[in-house]
Amino acid sequence: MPPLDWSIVKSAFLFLILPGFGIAVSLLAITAAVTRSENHRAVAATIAFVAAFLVGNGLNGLVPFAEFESGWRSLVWAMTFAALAELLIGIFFRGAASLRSTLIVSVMLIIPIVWVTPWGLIGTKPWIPALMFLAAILNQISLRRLVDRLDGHFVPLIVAIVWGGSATAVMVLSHSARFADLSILLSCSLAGLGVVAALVQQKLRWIFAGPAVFIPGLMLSAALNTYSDIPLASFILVAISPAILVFLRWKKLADWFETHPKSLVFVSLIPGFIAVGLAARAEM
Amino acid sequence: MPRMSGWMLSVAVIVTSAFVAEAMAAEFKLSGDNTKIQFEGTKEDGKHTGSFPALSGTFDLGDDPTKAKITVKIEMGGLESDDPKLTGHLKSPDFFETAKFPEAKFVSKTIKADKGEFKVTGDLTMHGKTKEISFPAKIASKNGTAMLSSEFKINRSDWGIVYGKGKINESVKLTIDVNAK
Repeated sequence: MPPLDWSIVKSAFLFLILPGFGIAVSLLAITAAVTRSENHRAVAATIAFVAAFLVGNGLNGLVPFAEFESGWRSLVWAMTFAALAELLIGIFFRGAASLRSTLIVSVMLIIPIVWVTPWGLIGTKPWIPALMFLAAILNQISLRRLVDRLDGHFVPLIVAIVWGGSATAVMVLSHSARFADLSILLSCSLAGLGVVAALVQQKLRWIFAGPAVFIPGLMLSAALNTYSDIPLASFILVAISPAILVFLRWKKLADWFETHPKSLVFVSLIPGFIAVGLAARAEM
Repeated sequence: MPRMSGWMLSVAVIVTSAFVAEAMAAEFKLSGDNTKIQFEGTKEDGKHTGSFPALSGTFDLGDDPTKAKITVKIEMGGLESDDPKLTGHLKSPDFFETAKFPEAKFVSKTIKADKGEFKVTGDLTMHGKTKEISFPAKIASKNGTAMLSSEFKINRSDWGIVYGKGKINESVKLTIDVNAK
């Protein structure tokens, strides 16, 4: 293993971690201090998350902003669109649960197919956009359910560490620095929100559509472009990692986990651990 | 009749000259066996080298190198480097993105004599972008062998390969060595 290059660590801290974390923390903290309105805080959380991510992406030149093409070049805009759509749907259709769900499902159907899956694969490998859709919608439902059922203040922080961490580890092992940086940036932006949410005891319900689309999209892009020996299962396991929590839809299970929240953290770690283990075994 | 002979002689001279010119500009086939294209990328604390062994092309070279024509196609998926892990990384979207851009191409436009050597100018297409480059080269044809050697630098960001700015130097050294029979 080569010696740790501190200039790269310093550069990552200054241009990747600090903007992602700092912007998200600052914007949400300021809003939390000046308003108690749930709507205002929800708007601030989404703006903070998207702004942190876009600034970090721009500073590091990770995904070109001006190249509109299905695949990894559209990941940033796809995530931004999903995050904003979730916020707007949440605010304007708060009272209409079935309509809200239909709209969210539509967003999760359109984005993975139109933007994230390379067009060349839609006709030849239709199971890829189907899996993308399934991953995005199950991730979103599971994370929302997690916030509603449990002590939701800590959910963004846990998601940032657990999901973002396993995604970053698999990206590093797949030798894609650009995708690893994107994963770190997403984790930091989400962690920034998570820290403030935990401190001010705020449940952030409408910030999961972005990551729910982005991480499966990132895993798909990495799987299509990697020249490493990492098995496809590693990418898929990370992509659908939060979906393992979909069982929280069943009240009895959810009630049991509500009294044993630490068990839930362990359960949510399982897919990521397996994915990283498989990747490490293939590459080390 | 004498006028007819003169006319026929002129035609014969023109046709013969064309055949001679054609014969003088021999076409040499380029492959990974007779053409070595190597690169050297640098960063603050080190460097890495690699090559493009999967290539094909032609080198039309006669007695006058300024009339030569070079066309080279490189299969980017075949690139090699001094570290197998780096090879995979170079093929990824961080650098050449070979799944999307499987081929690079160089087509010469002009070759001019320049201070005892030659200056080759042509279009280099790589990573989906085409840019004109010029580089100094030694060109010779001896005993049925076409030879070209050159060493020059290109700026990778000119082809949109921008990842790692500040960590990996923009300038990449290319070394070309042709010995085609």
